[in-house]
Amino acid sequence: MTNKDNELIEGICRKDKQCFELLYKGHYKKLYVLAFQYVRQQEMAEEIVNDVFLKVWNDAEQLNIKQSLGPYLSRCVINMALNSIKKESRKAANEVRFLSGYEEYEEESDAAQILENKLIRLEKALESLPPQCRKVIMMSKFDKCKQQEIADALNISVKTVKSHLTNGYEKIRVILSKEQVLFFFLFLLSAVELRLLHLINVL
Amino acid sequence: MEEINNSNHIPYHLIMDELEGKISTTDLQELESWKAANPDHLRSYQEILDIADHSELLMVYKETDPEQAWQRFEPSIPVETRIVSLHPQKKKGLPFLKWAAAVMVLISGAWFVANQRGWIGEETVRTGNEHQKLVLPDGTEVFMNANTTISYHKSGFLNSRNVELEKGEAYFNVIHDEKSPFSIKVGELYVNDLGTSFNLKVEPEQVVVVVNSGKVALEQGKETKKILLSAQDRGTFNKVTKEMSAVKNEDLNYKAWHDKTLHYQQALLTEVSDDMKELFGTQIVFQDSTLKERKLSAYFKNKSEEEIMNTIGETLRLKVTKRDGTFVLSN
Repeated sequence: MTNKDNELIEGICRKDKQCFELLYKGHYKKLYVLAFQYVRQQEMAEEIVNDVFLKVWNDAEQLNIKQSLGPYLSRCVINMALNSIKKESRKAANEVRFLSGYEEYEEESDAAQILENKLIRLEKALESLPPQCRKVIMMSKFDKCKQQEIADALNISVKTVKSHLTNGYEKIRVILSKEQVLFFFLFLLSAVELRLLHLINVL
Repeated sequence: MEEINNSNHIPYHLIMDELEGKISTTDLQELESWKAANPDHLRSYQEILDIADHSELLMVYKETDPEQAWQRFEPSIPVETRIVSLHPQKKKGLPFLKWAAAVMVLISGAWFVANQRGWIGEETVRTGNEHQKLVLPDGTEVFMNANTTISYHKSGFLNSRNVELEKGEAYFNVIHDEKSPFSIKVGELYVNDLGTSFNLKVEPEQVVVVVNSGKVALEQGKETKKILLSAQDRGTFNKVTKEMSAVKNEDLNYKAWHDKTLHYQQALLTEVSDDMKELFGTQIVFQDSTLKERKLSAYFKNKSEEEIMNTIGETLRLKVTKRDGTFVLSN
């Protein structure tokens, strides 16, 4: 991943638009959802990601290629998101919440990648649920339906909706907390692997 | 084994209601005490909130199409020169924005004048000893307590949702409209609602807001001073010191005058007596002053003054007698 990004950055330094397009499309989704997590507004999230990419396009030569691109992009997105939240003072409550979280945010880690991994794991956990249970959860969160609306739509009682939600959330919670440990090790493993690959390349 | 037990006892139904924003005060208290009972509970609670939040993000993530985003983004990429400013597309946009702003000001000015001319005048609603339900042009419900005065501009209301509470107390059930904020003026204080229900009371020295659901902002005049209240918060504005503050609301019966519901958890009888006086004008006399220290846990909905007094008597094994409109409690 890092190598490919480096090649693309070199291309961008030469103002190769195709390289830029590849880089943009490769990172867009996770950066967008990261920005959205902060600003909770689709247009603003897109604007933030685009601004970050414009910065990359314009200042590619000044980018420190030694550091990997992912964490850098995540940091830019977070900073820009925090700035736009500050401007929107009416979202004062969110700002406080995220600013306090931000202080603990490690510079080295790639927030967008971490969030993307979490979402992919959540999607897998959702897929492992019985169909009706999954449907209830999707309606409640994806379509923002109230419990009563779900009950009406699926022709079941609110009590059944509640029990689907309970079972679903409980299963997801158990799956995710079990995986957390496993993924931590996988993450370590892949980090070591990357270092090794890098070493081989250098040699 | 222990862990399985714990997870089985997570009150999902309460958390789901809370997420939906329609949890009752009793349930919320139950949930809060569950959260406080054990650090593990709090952790599980946080995990569930995360799952809920991440499910929402997952939807956003899945619906995102980098291809389309690129199509929208591409035209704004500066083409040739290497010496380019950081946000060229923004600079280009600026003069346009200025014009747009100027046009907006003109349009809104025109609207304002048109409205002024169209005004038949201010609509003022006053209550005497009775309660009154007022439905504003946007559908917002205002339940007015006795001796309350509210005014608003009838024809201009849908354009700017401004209401003035001159005195008294009212419970607001505001229809949410992101484009048009709902603002209540109380002297120097502005209570700006972000779509919610709350109780607003003007007392001699302070203004008290208790939020039932949603979010409310308290703003002072044109200044930037502002506090944000969430559900079950109680905000006060001191008319003398001009200070605003917010705490968790502990008075379960803040809107009893409106929903005729009284709820007590180990409450002192003096407290109950105060509420009864406010709600029904009931006079309660304690024959023995130690009775004032007795505690009551009870829930009354749509009960009459007499029914409530009798229940209190039965629960605490006290004798209730009514003399000349005054209730006497004795052992």
